[in-house]
Formats: sequence, structure tokens, C-alpha cells
Amino acid sequence: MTATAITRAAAITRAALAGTVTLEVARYLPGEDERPYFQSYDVPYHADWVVLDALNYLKDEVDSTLSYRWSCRMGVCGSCGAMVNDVPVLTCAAFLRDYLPGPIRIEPLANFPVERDLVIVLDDFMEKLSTIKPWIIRETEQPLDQGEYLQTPAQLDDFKQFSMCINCMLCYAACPVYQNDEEFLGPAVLALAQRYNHDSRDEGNTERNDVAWLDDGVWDCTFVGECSAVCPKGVDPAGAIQQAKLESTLGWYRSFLTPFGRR
Amino acid sequence: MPEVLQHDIVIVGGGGAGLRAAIAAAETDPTLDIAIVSKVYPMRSHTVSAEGGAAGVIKSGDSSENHIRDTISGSDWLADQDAVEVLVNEAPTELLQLEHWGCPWSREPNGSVAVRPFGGMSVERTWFAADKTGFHMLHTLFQTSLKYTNVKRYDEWMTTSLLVEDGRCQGVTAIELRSGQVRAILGKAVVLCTGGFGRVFPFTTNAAISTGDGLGLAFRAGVPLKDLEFVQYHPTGLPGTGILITEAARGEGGILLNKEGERYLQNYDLGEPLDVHDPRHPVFRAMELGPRDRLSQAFVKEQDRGNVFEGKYGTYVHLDVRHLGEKKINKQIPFVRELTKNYVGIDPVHEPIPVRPVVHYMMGGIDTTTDAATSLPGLYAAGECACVSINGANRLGSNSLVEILVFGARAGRNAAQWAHQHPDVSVASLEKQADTEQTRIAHDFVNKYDGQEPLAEIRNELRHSMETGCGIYRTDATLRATTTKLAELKDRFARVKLDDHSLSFNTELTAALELEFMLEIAEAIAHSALRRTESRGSHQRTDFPNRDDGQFLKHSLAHRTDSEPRIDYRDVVITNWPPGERVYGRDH
Amino acid sequence: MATRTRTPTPYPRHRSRKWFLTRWPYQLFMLRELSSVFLAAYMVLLLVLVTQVHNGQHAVRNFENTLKSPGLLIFTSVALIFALLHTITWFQAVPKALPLRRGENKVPPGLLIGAHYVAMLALSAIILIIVLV
Repeated sequence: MTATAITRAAAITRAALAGTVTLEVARYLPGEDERPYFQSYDVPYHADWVVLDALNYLKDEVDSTLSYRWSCRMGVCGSCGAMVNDVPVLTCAAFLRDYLPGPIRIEPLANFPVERDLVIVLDDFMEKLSTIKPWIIRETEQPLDQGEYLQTPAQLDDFKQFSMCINCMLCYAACPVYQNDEEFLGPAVLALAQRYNHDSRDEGNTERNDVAWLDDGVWDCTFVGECSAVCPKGVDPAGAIQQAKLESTLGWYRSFLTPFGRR
Repeated sequence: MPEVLQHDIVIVGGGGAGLRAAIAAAETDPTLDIAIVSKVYPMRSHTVSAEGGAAGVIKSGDSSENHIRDTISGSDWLADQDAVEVLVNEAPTELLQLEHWGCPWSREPNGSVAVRPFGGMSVERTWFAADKTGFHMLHTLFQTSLKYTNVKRYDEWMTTSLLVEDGRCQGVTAIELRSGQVRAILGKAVVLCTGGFGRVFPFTTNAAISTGDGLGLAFRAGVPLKDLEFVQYHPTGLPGTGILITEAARGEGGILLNKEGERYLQNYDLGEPLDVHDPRHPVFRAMELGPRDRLSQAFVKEQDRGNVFEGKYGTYVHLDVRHLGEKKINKQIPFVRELTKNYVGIDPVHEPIPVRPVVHYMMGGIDTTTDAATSLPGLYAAGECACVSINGANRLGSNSLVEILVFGARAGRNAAQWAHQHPDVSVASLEKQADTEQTRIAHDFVNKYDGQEPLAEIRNELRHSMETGCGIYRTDATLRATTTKLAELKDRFARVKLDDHSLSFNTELTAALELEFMLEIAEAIAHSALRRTESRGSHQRTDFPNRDDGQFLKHSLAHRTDSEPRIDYRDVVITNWPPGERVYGRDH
Repeated sequence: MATRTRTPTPYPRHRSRKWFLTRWPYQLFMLRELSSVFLAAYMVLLLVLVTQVHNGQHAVRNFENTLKSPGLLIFTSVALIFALLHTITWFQAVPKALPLRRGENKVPPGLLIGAHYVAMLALSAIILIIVLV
């Protein structure tokens, strides 16, 4: 066993024996508090508890005034994003045992205004989502009685990964560009644009990229890559953006060489 | 005086049914002004958790007749056959429409939509998007809805009551969670699409938000709730968390094994097991592809025999998919692999998955017609919160994802029509009603300082009582115990202790409002179950073990009263499929 | 009755000048970006060398002596390390920007990255041969 593994095992044993672990949770009540502050709580330690279990325990048994978002508890609804020890995670997928010995610091998702406690304001994200026209754009619709648009498994694979985004916004919390520039469309939105651009049924590349390929779009990205590192669904928005940059560049050259050709 | 907002149509709930209704209304008439009022952002709606697929007849060798018959027998003949005909006939069109809107359905090599086998279906007809069908459907619907500029969303507004005037539903009151303000949102028509209520039980696949709000709203407005006693236990949920392991795992050939490693379903009149490598496995409508109610009941019987494993979170059996191989698992059920690895630390490629029945779906709900209309003029309902009924006493897997599309669309179109025919709204009287509601919320909740009963305790006792008294097997004694307990809990709720008196995103307030809804609905469930002295589908009475078509080929209707709910009955609509025996595992 | 009727103000987004110090991935990113500065500076050195070649053998020998000074030795070593960092991090990025497919299967990223290293070594070998011969 490595030294790290031994230290971790010791921490887990100690916590299991002590039976508790300390959480430091950010609190903020608008109108009452000038700024967020930390409140310390001891919660029972269970090897299979996630941070969300600990928060629910707190709300039910200790402090019912704690506010946070959650719903599915299985990593698919995207509600429960938060910063745990400075890293954006889904609280329903972050196991207490991975943060021992504690204390575990829980804060609202970075780079968003804080509405209350761990609840952030996601208006900015919701607005940006619509700007890239995340729907199938076509010149003509095939009538339904003619059946489905044919799409081979390979064509489906071309955009499938980018369609897995649960809108949890961990990528926005990890992105230093978004931190410094609120106009940046951001990883999830740009990955969604790629999802539709690469869908063989879609014909809306031009319209979409009039937004996505501008300064506030892909070209604002400096490829830090942390968005993909924190993404819980393997969407790889960094990859989507770099691919978009490549496509954008090649498209630009092509428009010079074939000025009358289709874009 | 609370602020009053006005729209043509108000849709409560932004999940699959609500979004489909909004799009249908918007397409019916682009001049209509449509509001979606949801207590969560639409992408968080519980539709997102659905995994397996959505059934629709498209392959040659299949027919509507087949799908209808499967659904009716699956429902143990309690489904209204005219409604099932509507569902089955409109399903393929709806699924194709979703495909045109970009839903990433899994495909055959030639590019056509692929289908997979599913429980209780005699032919493969379940369309799927890997094993995240609900997720993809929801995101497709949500993103498509952004196209319609006449759809306005009220995200994180929790609806607290329906506004009724002149015998018509004319809007809702809702709390804007951000500010804590109660506002009136008026509409010429209102559509409820609030989903299910699994959270009245302790172990459920359902999300936190599945608390039956829409049922509570309708119930309090005098609309009856139909067939509430029919609660579906999904046979394969993870012990403890209750996280869903999709039926698709069995559709792809997964098998259920007891403690002895035996495929125990063969002992419960579900057919003979074939070897897993036999090309005919899995056999449709047999063994692991039997209907959910029978599989969950089989588990309980195995448990009584001591043939199940004992674990930290209770008893369980094994779902084995190892024989499918890593490649197939990664392609067809990758989410199952992800979930079991994350939440039980098991890789299903190498080890069997521990599973047990958990509450999953509510067949019952707000009584509606096939046009999604309720008994209250101007009020419509669709999706899991509604009971048309197409699911009767037991739902077949992959029918609910089409239900939300077919009836969501119908609700939208019909609400649009109603809005045209009833353009006037009694603003002044509705304002007064909203004022009363604002006072109620403030007095009974936000400014309540004298409560003593802990909220979480009342909620836990509610859930415990429902599981012990109103679970897979029920008796007169257990149900009466539950009804008594629920009456006590309602009483205690009047003295609930609330510590959060703020207005900004007060989630203790929302939890209290949800518990208030849940207590009423649970009471209605228990009374409906008590009155139905027969066993049918997912409602099993050990004291009345047989199906009794003579007395009970009827829907139960629960009506709200000042004391306990009043239950009466309505005949099931039979068209072309006279009641027969429900046979699985052999030819019927 | 709770009377607060104004919309409560959220706590605004927090920006920090020292964001890149908070976690290792951000520090590595900044080092990667910094590597371009050193590469650019090294390019200037190469341009100077080219100019000196134009000025004759004497100028080149003078320049070589300057290069052996401790300051420039340190600089060149540091620039080499940064050049390697630059190469490694950007080669890692190739499969992200260029996801090649053969039918339904993605070309393994390792293959793409490996091909770049092979090309780099081959080109370096060629240049080395030209210089030595």
C-alpha cells in the first residue's frame, strides 16, 4: 500500500470510530447578511453517504433553515452542484469518505451570484442557452408519415457525447474565463451548439455559429480544460470548443477559396 | 394585494407532459400566450430519470392491436380501452415527432429507429435512447420549447392552489421561490402536469420533487382522484437509495436470481427459464419480462420463504447481466453500469447487482377523459399526475413515456381550444382569492412560531406507515392502521414546527407545503385501498386474494370531504377486449 | 405578516486576481501559457543567430561565446523545459480538437498523440543529422 493509501485508510478508520465528520457550510440570507459566512456542523459518518445525504441530515435533524437544491439524487437532473473543498461537484455523487478526515467545506457553485446559502442564481446560463438556438433547424421538415430521418449509429455517435449534458454548470464554476468575463457563453452552451451542429438532421450551422463562433463564443476560450475535468457526464466541452475552433478556422479558409460555395 | 399575472393558458409542471402540452398549444395557435409554472427548472423534472424507453408500434410484424392487447392485459383489465386505443394509435406519431425535434433515438445499422423488448410486451416495440430515454426526451422537449416565443416560463415558482370562479378553473396562486412572494397567475385554461407522488413512500425511485402537488391542488378544488390504490413497485431498484435499475437490463437478457442462485420467477407462473445463451432468450411476456406487479409480488413471496439475501438496507436478490458482456452493456445499458459502480461499488460486467422492489410509478391520479379534461371546466391534466386510465391496475414499462407525449399534446390542444371559447377571466374575484391564499401561507407557515412537531418526523412516520400498511401486500388490518395513523399525522401537521421565517428561497416552506399535499393524498390512497376488497394488478389483498370483476371492474374515485375521503366507483370502459385471464409465460 | 416586498439582492459573483493559485490544474495552465513567452524569446535568439551568420564566422563565434554565459545558459535550459512542457501539453490536446473516427469507433487518442511524438522525433533526428553532417 502506498503512503497516501495508508493515510486515507487511517482517516477513514478514525472517522468510522469517531462516528462523525465536520462540515463547514456557507450560509447567506439576502437582506440579513452582508456576505456569506461559514457555519460548522458535525454529521454522522457513514461510508456510503454522499455530501447530499449529510446535507439532508442537517436539514431534517439539525438546522431546517439550510437551503440547497437537489432532486434525483442519482446524477442526472443537474440540480445539486456545489463547491466541495474548492472543487465543483454534484453533492449527490461526492462521497464523504473521499474527503476525510475533514472538515469538509461546502460552498455554492463558484462564478454565480448567490441567492441564498448554497443556492445560486442561474439566470445568466438560462439566457445564454437560448442564444445558440438549441433545436433542430431545417429548411424543410419531412412529413411525419414518411417516417424517421435516417441516422446511422456512426452519425449518432458524432454528436452523442455532447448531448449528455445535464446542465449542472460545474463547468462554469471551473472556468476561469467565465469567472473573469461574464459575457463568455461558456462550456455547456458551446458544447450544446456543437451537439446540434453535428446532428445529421440539423441544417442550422450557419445560424448557430453566427453566435457561437464570435468573440463571446468559442474564441473566448483559452483551453484551460478544467470544464471537461469536472464534468460528471463525460461531455468534454473543452473538446467540443476546440473542435469548433478548428471547424470555424477551416470554414473561414474555405469561404475565401470558394466564395460562392455553400458555407 | 399579491401581484396578478395573466396568460391564456397556465401549465403547472415543466416535465415531459408539461413541455409537450406547451408546444402543442403554441403550435395550435401562435397568438396564444402560454405560461409554464414549475417549482424546479424544467431540466430537473423527474422525466429526466426515466431510463428504459417509450413504446410505439413501427416495426412490421407488430400491430396496434398487439400493443393494445398487451397494455390491457398488463393493466389487469382496469384500463379504459378507448383510452388505450388513443394511446397506442397516437404513440408512433408522437415518437416520430420527437425524433424530428432531434431526440437521439438509438438506431439500427441501416439508420432506422431501433426497438428493444420490454416487460409485458409481446413484440419488441420500445424505442430507446441508450438507457437514458427520459433524459433525452426531456432535454429535446425543453430545448425545442425554447423555439416558441409565446411560451413564458416561471421557473422555481411553486403552485399552492387553483383559482376557481364561476365553476371554472381560471388560474393558480404560486410562490416565487426567489422572493417568497405569493402571486396569482390567471389563465383561461389550466393544465396540471406535476408528475407522480412516490415520495409518500420511504423507498422509491422517485426524485425529491415527486410529492403529488397537482393531485393535491385538484383534490382541494373538488376534482376526484382515480385509482389511487394502484401503486407500482418496480422490481429492480437499488437497496437503500432506491435508485432505478432500468427494466431494459432485463429486456437485453438480464436475469433475476435468489439466494440459491435460482431463477425463482419460474415458481410464480411466469413460464420456464431458457438458458441465457439460447437465441430465444429473453422470451417476451415471460420470466424476467413479465409485468412489474407480478415480479415485485414474487420477490415478497421469496422473501417469506427465506430465499433472499440480507443486507444493510434490507433484503434483496440479484440481477445478473454478466452474460451480456462488456461491449453490450456499454452500448445498451451504460447508465446502469455507471449507477451501480457509483452507488454500490459493483461493476455489473463482473458481479450481479443487488436489487429489490421499490415504489416507482402511480397508476392512479387526477380523473381525466381521453381529452385530458377533468371534471372542473377549464382544468386539464396529463402525464403521471393524471389517470385517463391507460395503465389500469398495473402499468407496462415504456408506456408512460408515450403517455406524457400523447396526453400532454391532447391537453395542450384542448386547453387552447377552451381558452378560445372562454376568453373572459374574473380578475377582481380572483385577486381576492389570491389575497386569501397569501394570508394563509403567511399565517400557517412563514409566520408560524408556535409549532412543536418536527416536520421530518411527521414525514418519516407518513412514509413508514404507507410502506407497512399500504405496500405490495395489504390487509384490512394494516390499511386501517394506516388510515388511523394518517389522520393522527394530519392533526399533528397543524402544529408543525417551522424555524425558517425568511422569504428568500425558503425550502422549509416548500417542504411543509409538499408534506401537506402528501398527507392528503396518502389518506386518499389508503382509503381507496381499504375499500377495494379484491386483488388486481398491483393492489394485492391477502384477505381478498382474487380478482372480482363482478364488483370491481370499476375505477375508484376518491372525493375530498371534511373528514375522510369518500370513495365511489365508475365502470371501466370496455370496447373490443372482454375481460380475460392475465397469462404470462405461456400462450394466451 | 412578513412585509418584505423588495426583491432580495443576491450576493454578487466573486472574482479573484489570484484564481490561478487556488488549484494545481490552474497553475499548470498558467505555466503552459507562460511557456509560449519563453519559446518566443528563444525564437528571438535564433533570429539573432541567423543575423550573426549573415555577419560572418567571427560574429557567429562571438555569439556562441555569449550563449555560453551563465545567464543565457540558465535561460536556454529553462526554455528547453518550457518547450517540452509546451509540446507535451499541446500534443495531449490534439485528440480533443481532432476526434478521428473509423466508422463507429473513435481512433484511440493514444495513437494520435503517439503519432505526433514519432513525427517530432523523426524531424528532430533529420535536423540533427543535417547539423552534424
